[in-house]
Amino acid sequence: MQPSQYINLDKAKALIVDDNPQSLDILVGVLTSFGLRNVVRKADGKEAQEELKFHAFDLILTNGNLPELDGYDLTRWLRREADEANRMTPVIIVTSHTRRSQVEKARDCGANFIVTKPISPAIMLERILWVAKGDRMFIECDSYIGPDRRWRNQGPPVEFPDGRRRDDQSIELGDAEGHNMSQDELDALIKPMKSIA
Amino acid sequence: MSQVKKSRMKPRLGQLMSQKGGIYVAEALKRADATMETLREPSLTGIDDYLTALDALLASDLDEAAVMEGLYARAGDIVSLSGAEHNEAVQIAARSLCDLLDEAHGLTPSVLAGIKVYIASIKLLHRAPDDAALHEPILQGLASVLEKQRNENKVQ
Repeated sequence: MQPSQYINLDKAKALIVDDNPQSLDILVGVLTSFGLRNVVRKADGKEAQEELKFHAFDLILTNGNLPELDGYDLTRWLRREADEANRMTPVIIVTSHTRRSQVEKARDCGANFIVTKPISPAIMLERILWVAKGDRMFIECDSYIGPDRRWRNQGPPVEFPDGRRRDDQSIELGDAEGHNMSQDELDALIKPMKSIA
Repeated sequence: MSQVKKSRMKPRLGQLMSQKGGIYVAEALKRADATMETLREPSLTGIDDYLTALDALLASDLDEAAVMEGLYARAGDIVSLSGAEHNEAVQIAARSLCDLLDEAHGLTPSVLAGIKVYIASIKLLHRAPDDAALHEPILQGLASVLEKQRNENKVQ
């Protein structure tokens, strides 16, 4: 993301879902500052689902923890059951905390990114630019529908330019806890899988 | 083995964003920071309200599950608004409280004591200046409360 880069969100339409009104105000305020004019605000997942049944959006921002239908289930429904106009729409989930029991659900729901709160404008804009680039394949199989999760790392996160987070573990490696894998086992892991292009 | 279908994502967002007009990234961020500044005081007041709500939940007659759920939700709300603080300590403390509540097996006396320590600590950190020397001992204390609770969870 370069400061001299141009962005034009004039004609884009976004759906923003958060049950916390102040948090919703922050999200809408940040996106409006980026030039986005057409924003639809919703306070719960069910309302957002109804909106998505009848209107097409270019970007969806949703809180992960929502009453009734949470942001993860909303995204999963979008990827699997929504009509073509919205099925591949970029989804960014924002969350203040993910329960341990929901980590897998968050990973598998089909969101483009999961961003932790509090919202940082720089990080939000960077993620929007990433999803707009569309350089990830859309994967559809029995167990997962959504953007390819094996996406190449684009470098250190903008908020940690030295590439290390404060709570990262030491880079010194200790002894392995288990046996080394055999070459055959390693080969099996990276064996190309047949796919339909 | 299930079949895997791959297709290229071509979001309309990308086409729209590259159209003529718009603003520089630097300008967009400057405007967003200005917006965040206008929302700072309402957010800090919001955190005041959520701290009061945490106390009210502890004193309420609600059943244990509802209290735990309410406390978790309010701690998450504090994280949401903590960008308005002049320090990151409130965010770290509130997220750590979410961890404690998420991992706790019920509202046992030790969990309850831990929650009270968290609430008192967040009150101390709320609206405090950005002074690591002030925050560090508090955050270290909270980290040991969480660690102790995790050890108790393992035994249960």
